[in-house]
Amino acid sequence: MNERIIYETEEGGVAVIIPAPECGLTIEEIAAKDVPEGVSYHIVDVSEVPSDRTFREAWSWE
Amino acid sequence: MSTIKSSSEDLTLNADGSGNDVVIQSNGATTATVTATGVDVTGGVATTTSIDVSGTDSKLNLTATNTGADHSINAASSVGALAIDVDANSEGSDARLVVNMRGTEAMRIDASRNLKFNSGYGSAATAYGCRAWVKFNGTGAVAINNSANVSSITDLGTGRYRANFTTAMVDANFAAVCTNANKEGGCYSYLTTSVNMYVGQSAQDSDTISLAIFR
Repeated sequence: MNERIIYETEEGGVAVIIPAPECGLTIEEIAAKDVPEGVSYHIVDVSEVPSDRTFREAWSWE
Repeated sequence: MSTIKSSSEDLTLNADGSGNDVVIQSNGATTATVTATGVDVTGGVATTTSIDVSGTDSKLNLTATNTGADHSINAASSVGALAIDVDANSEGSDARLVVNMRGTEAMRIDASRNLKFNSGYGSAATAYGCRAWVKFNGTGAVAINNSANVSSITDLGTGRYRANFTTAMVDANFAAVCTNANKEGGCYSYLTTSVNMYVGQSAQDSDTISLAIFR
């Protein structure tokens, strides 16, 4: 899958969900199951997630 | 009741000639056909087709007479499973399904539904399954190399990840083995649906992280 699920954590950071390629679930099914209950999320293309993790704790969603 | 009987010698039913079969019917419907290649049991008007073998020590033997020839039981239909049932009536403490290899027990499913196998252990002992596993790269664009029963990895921040299970564990009392390349680490926050992993005392990413769940 070339998509990622993004949601804001309780600590104010950003969590990125990486789907397992052969898990048999759609990205929507994974989001419904693996995003904490009641938390809003966004499905984005993998290219929108930075690969430079130097300041990973400073990531935010806009 | 009408009976065909031969008391003093073999009884032969012969459908003589190429392509001719011996057909056995019940209530007007064919239930079995003896052909040139074997016996076909069709069930007739019944919805369930069965071959019943019963006796004080019942056996169904497959004997291939050609050296090296295989024996097989095929579920030829495109639907349904091939099931081997140890019937509910055999639910006593001695109920079991045993697979022997050359006279020695190689595998067993006991009355408690435990799967036991030998595979070099010395005897057929209970196998405790790895219920989920994943190997992933936690650096750069985090990516999963391969996995089983893991729907996703959540990147929670530097050196912190979560494995989400496709099928939840029965409880949170599972053992999680987590390793990574050259750094200390471990697991925390055990839930039936997920477990968290950390890498490095001061949180560091790792390019090779492996997790295995046993229960």
